[in-house]
Amino acid sequence: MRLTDLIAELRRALGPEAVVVEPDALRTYDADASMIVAHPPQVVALPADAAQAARAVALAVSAGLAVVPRGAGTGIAGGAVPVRGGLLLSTARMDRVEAIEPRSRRALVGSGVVNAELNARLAPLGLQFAPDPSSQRASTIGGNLATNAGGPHCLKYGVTTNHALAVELARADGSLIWTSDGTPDAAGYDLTGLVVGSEGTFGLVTRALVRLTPLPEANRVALALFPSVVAASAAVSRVIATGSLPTSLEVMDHNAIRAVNGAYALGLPEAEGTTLLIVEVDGVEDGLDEALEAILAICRAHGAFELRPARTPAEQARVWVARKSVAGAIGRLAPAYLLVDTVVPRTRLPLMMEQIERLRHEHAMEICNVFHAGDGNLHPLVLYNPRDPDQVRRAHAIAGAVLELSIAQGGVISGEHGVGLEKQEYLPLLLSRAELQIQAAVYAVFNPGDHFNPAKIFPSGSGPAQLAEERRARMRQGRMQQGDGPVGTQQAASPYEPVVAPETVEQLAAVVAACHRAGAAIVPTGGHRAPAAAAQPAVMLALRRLNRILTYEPDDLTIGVEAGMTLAELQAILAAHGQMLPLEVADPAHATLGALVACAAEGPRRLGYGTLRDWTLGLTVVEADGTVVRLGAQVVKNVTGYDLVKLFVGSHGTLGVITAVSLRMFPCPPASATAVLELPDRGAAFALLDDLAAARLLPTAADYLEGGALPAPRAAPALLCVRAEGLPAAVERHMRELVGLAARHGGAASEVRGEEETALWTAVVGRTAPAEAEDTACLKLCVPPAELGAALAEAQAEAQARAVTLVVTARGLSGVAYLRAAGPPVGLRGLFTELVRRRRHAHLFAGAPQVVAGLPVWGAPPPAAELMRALKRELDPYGTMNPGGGFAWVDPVALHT
Amino acid sequence: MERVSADQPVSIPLIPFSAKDRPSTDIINTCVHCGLCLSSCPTYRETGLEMSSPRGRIYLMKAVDEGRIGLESEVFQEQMSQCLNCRACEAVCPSGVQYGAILEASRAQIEQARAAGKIPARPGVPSEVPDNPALPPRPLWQRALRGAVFGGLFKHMGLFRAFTGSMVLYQKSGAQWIARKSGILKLLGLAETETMLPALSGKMIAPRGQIFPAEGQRRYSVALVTGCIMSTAFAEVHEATIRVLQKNGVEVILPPGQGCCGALHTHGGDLDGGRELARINIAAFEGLGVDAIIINAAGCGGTLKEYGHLLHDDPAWHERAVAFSKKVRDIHEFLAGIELNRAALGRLEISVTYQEPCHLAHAQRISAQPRALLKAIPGLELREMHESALCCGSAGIYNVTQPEMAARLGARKVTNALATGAAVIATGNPGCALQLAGELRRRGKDVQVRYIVELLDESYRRGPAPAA
Repeated sequence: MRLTDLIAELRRALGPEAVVVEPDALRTYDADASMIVAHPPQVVALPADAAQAARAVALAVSAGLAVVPRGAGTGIAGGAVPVRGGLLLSTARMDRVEAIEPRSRRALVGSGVVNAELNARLAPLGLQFAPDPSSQRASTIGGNLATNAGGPHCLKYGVTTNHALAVELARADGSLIWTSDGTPDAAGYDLTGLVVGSEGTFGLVTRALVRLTPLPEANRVALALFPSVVAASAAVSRVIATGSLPTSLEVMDHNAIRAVNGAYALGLPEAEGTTLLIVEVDGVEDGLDEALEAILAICRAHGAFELRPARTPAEQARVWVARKSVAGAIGRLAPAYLLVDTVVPRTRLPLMMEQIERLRHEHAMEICNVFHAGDGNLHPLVLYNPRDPDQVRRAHAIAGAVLELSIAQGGVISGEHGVGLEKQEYLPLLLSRAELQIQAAVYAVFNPGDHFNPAKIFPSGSGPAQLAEERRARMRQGRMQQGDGPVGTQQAASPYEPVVAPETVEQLAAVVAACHRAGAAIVPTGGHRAPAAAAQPAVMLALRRLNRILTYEPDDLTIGVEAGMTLAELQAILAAHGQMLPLEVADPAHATLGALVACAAEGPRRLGYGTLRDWTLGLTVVEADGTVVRLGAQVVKNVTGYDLVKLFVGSHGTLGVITAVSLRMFPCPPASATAVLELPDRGAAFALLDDLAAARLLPTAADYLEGGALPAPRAAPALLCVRAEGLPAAVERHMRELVGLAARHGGAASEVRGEEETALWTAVVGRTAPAEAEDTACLKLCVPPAELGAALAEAQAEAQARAVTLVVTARGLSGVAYLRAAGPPVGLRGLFTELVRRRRHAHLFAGAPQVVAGLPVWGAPPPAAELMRALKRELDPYGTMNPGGGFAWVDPVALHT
Repeated sequence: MERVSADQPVSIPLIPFSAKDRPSTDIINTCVHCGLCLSSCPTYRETGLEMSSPRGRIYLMKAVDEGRIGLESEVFQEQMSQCLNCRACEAVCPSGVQYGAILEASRAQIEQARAAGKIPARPGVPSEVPDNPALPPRPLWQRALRGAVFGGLFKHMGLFRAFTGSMVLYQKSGAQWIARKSGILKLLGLAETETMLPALSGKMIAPRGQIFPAEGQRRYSVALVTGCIMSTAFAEVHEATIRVLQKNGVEVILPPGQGCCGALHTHGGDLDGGRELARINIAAFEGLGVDAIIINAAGCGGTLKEYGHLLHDDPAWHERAVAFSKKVRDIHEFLAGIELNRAALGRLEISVTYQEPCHLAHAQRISAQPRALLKAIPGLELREMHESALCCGSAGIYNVTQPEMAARLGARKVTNALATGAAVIATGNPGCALQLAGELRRRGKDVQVRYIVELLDESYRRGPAPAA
């Protein structure tokens, strides 16, 4: 197709006003906010919706043009620059908020919706889309997803990936595909987690289903002034270490202050060295002053010479607008800046700031520091004049030196802005060749023809096609020496011969490599319990001896451990430092962290803290051929390449063996209590949950229990266990209001604390343990949170009709329910089949063989099953990783198909 | 599939910026391309096009400044014309880029090049909507506006006022600018009972040195800028302004010899025309010894406050201009800054939504004060509309130069205003008032458009309820 034909076709499909071709107009699309490289596209298209976008993509691909997605062009790593020309696809007109579902706390939005406008729509509903990048008043949700954007409030609320439930992708053939339907805990590889942070290289994101978060009832903002950026950084490090969970801890040095002081009437001192720390805490009103005061006391102890509260909403807004405007205000200081976007463990902040000060003097350049200190996310902006080649050179020298220093401290290359064009040559500083190859392998699945945003992320000498091919060759080589046939053809006496329990990662890798050569399959296991089933003869790889601590700096609130460590062991280590992983599972003494991560385990406190998907920062993985790769890093923000950690969380050992896990930790809360609400029936319980969801309370768990042995001595038809954690005043407030809620819904409330509370939650999660009695089936049912009550009513009706009794344990506000069903096998099979038919997301995770045989235990196949199969084929080409242990629609040899 | 081959570039001579009124390279380079202005820009929000955003337009100016494109670029000319100069971008720009200054200079460059015959007077740009029979042909308007009106009537207030009653004048100047589709004749005639607009009084206010004494103790003395359109079509707003000031212990002087502020000239790129008017006004208001120079039209206020910049190259006038600008206060700014006479306010049981004039909210950053005044009126319910500060599309002569975009923005604004269900749309600028009235009229909506001072005046005239 000629360009003129393409233009004609685009005009026909999108309308003449949606296609830009005038050369002078195209020039305005040749750069994003980075302004590092300028290259105009050949044509710009502005589709109005997903269907038009998909059509435009297909046309461009058939004309041999690259497709470069662009939101608002506020990125500062060059991600939206069409370096190879092509069709620039602007999402600016795909700006419809299609649905807001307050009770399910999610919204369906076009990728061109502006972040601040979505939030303006949500605020009257008491909700927010939590990621708040500084560019939010212009940047789009699509752009936020592409860079996995962070923001000042992400310290508490997490970054974009923690708030993305599903995305719709336009693919090269013009098809549209959803990564998931957005149901919580949907079975399958986490494609959403992969696409977030992929910088437009995995396809064009057309729409997204995003998670909404309740707006806090109250907040406090205070400004603390320090004599130096190092002192401020030390205070931040201390605040994190003492276990406060502030909403924001943002640092601005004197240059940053100078950039915005006047324009936003902050009235701050601007003397050299003066550094501002913005502190925000939020939550329920009760206890907030106390929380702020504790942080300010630390600031004083670290030399803060002035503390001023921002009391009125207008004052607070001014402070935040000023903070978020610093990068844009650099024009007041210098014609250009180079932004380094690195993240280090938080205890290394003072050291890094000292080094940056040193570099500033050494290179005689001005640096403006403005950063998300609480996250350890540094943003030194090196100020320079682009017309002075020597300044350009010195600016890049500083940027390179900061990155090298950061990596030496365990840091990464990008925390929230992406690699784009600006950082691609730095990538090999952090990633080994094998790590680049596995990144490229995933790229090859999503973007095999280099159609989407080509020439980004990967270093220029090592394109993704080349790297992916290197990896395939590596896999082939290991195998072909033996000339083996496909897996599963060998015979063995027992499915688990032999069992190998290596002591080190090196040994483990050698075993995997040997199996790869021999064509033997591998079933990884924590080693404390046999896997549920085996599809074929395989080596059982037990990780129980890999149980050491690798890196634990309590003050960083992160820990790195080997995958064979059990949850109970981990909790004991953390407890000694007043920390915890907020996860309760049925069998913590035997559940290893590797297994929990591989299964994407979740627990009651997901409501307040999230799940392992949110806390897993890094993994060490042994690939199918025995190659060891490190994915992610032990820092709390990271967009250095694709988020392969998300791919492996919940991959059930089917893509590689997880040998080490880096996790985000939490301080043990100063107070905790659980209200046990006894209610007359399910209807009352779910009506109460509706009220709870609408209230500005922030419980950390709200489990619904029905049937079976309830935590003694209660025997109500329906029970809610609602937990509150935090400062004592906040916990008391929750308990008071929960008593009132129970009364309003015809129930009674009692309160448990301390050991009694621990025992209660042990009993709750004990109800979800797998049981394999002949007349029992254990199901996990996942639905949009708003539909949970109805789904449970439906399940009960279907169960009764089949003489099946149910024991229900549900995460009441999260849409996840565990059902222990007892009854005749035929009834159990019928019930499960019906639940899959109605709700799709029913997972039969334990049951006797006569119950399970032949059933689609993972529920209905997801929309993107084909992509999942392709990922499996690319990463594990010989299908040797945990055959039969994964999702039926992914793994052709799975047992239960 | 055959790969696309890029079309061969055509070599064309580039027409650079000329030295006179050249857009400042320093200002252009203050833009670091962050893009935070995008969502504030009415034309970007309507089109989603980068070149229709402030960042894109500055990028185009930069391209001309650096010689990569020339003034003959139709994209450049169209974008300089399509910009509303509402300056919403300027208000949100973290780097403080003085967008209005470089836009006006860019327009001046285009006008200079046209006058010199370097580029055609009538670019064949997409915004030329051929299928709009209501619109007279552009060349006529170019002549009418640039020649007769700018050069003549606005500069001679006597003439302007003399012709105000005449439909001809209104069609050639105010009327089209005011509300092309709104049936201005009927509005002007006022014979009909339609009262969607504040009464376009036949009274007219000619400044002849009148002094209106303060009511009660005199607290301040101010001089009122009577302007062009405000002194004629909106004379009643002046009367209301004077009465409200008097109620607040303010003595009001109407200095003779003053004229049009020149906003339309400077915004349109006729900087010399603007300068000429500025000098007239500076001279008229000098040496009065007043506490403030009051203006009740947002667009004029923005211009009056920038006389210093406009005359920065004129050594004889620059200091005088700065001194003048320092004294200028928008009426809302002034009233909110003094202790308002609340005791005399009477109840107005009405629901009001506030449409922010761009040159109040953005150019002058006056946003809270008008709301505070509205809220001061007992019984008045203020209902905030969505996108209150997004330009309504009036923007001086924009209705004439960019009729299609003006209509789109007018419709968007009125949709947002109607969504509040308020009975009155309050504003503070003649262009906005007429644009809103026109769109309301087109929709047949019985919603009033009022100046905030008129509402205050009405409240004062009603007086406080007798003590129970």
